[in-house]
Amino acid sequence: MELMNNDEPTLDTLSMWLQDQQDGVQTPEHRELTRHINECPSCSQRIAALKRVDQVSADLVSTEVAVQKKDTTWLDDLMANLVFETLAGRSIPLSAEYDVDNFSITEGAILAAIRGVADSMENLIIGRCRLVGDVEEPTSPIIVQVSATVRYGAVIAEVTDRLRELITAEVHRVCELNIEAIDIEVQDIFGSPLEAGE
Amino acid sequence: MAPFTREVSHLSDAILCERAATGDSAAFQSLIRRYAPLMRAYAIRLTSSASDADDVLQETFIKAWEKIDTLQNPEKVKSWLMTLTSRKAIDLMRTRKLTVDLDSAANTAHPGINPEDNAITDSQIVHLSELLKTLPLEQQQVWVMREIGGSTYKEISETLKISEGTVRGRLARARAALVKGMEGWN
Ligand SMILES: [Zn+2]
Repeated sequence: MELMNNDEPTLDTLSMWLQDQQDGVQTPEHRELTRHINECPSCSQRIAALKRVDQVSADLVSTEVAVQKKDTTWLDDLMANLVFETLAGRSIPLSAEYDVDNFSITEGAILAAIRGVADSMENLIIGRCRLVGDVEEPTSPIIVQVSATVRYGAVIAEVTDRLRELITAEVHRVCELNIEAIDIEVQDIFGSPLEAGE
Repeated sequence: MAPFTREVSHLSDAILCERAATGDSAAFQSLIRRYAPLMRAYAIRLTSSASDADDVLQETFIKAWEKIDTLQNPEKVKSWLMTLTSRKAIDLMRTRKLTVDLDSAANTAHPGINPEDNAITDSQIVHLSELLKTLPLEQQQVWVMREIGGSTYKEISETLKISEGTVRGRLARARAALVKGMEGWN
């Protein structure tokens, strides 16, 4: 990127300079070339041309994405051929008094059940949902970790208390885990202020 | 209808990703549908073929479902999906190269925008699209990974197994060549 006395920088060099400019590069060579470009009509013109091509490039990309969005049969075909199986996870033992037909239930099934009851709530959407602790050991204390987003305008403490009740009841319905705590991390809100009054 | 189902299109990437990472395949599929058009436009540019692109996407979706619980930062799921797409596409191109070299006629199929497609009326965009195909493949790849993939020099250098300096150089040459080719169109 050195500038010879009477040599004009090549277009490749100017292109590199523009990239560096966009990346916030601050080397002495870069600053020297910046000074030259600011004083040189020919270089300024070529930089302007590079910027115009950048703009057309951005337009090309959004056009190509729009083409893919317009008709998504390709996506339906792809998804129809795929099965996204949920990992079973750990195996949680059930005593014979609890369930005479099954000796165990999978962690994946318990998490799905928790999501199911959480999704019955109008004012909350859960995100992450995990069982922390030795679930394979019948009596060991387990913590349910949940993240959630709460509807705009809802009282967070009420919503999270309700979620705790629902999770506790559901876990006891499907298995014998010894739930010590249910940690709920509220990360976000959903819904607009306009809907909040409804 | 559960608020999740009703609100899914407004939910953040992060919450969909966290649900998906703890086993919710519905959340995963919503996430995939959100970015699949971008991923397909990307894969078509990288492989020069819609059917190869669909193979790439299929593998990428499977890999993403297997690995989503390892993603450290759920907010970065978009760039993670794009990186997975480019790795699968570049892998495919490496295996394809052998066949294409033997049968150069197969190499005439071109990706991207079809100039006859009525949807594209902007002649500058069509011209740029055609110009891109005339660049050396190594420059096209870097340009596409930067402009469509939104990748950093470092990510591109890792995927293509070349130095970051080479990435910068190829990108600069690609842009310069596009400017030359676009003269008179601006
Ligand atoms: Zn100059």
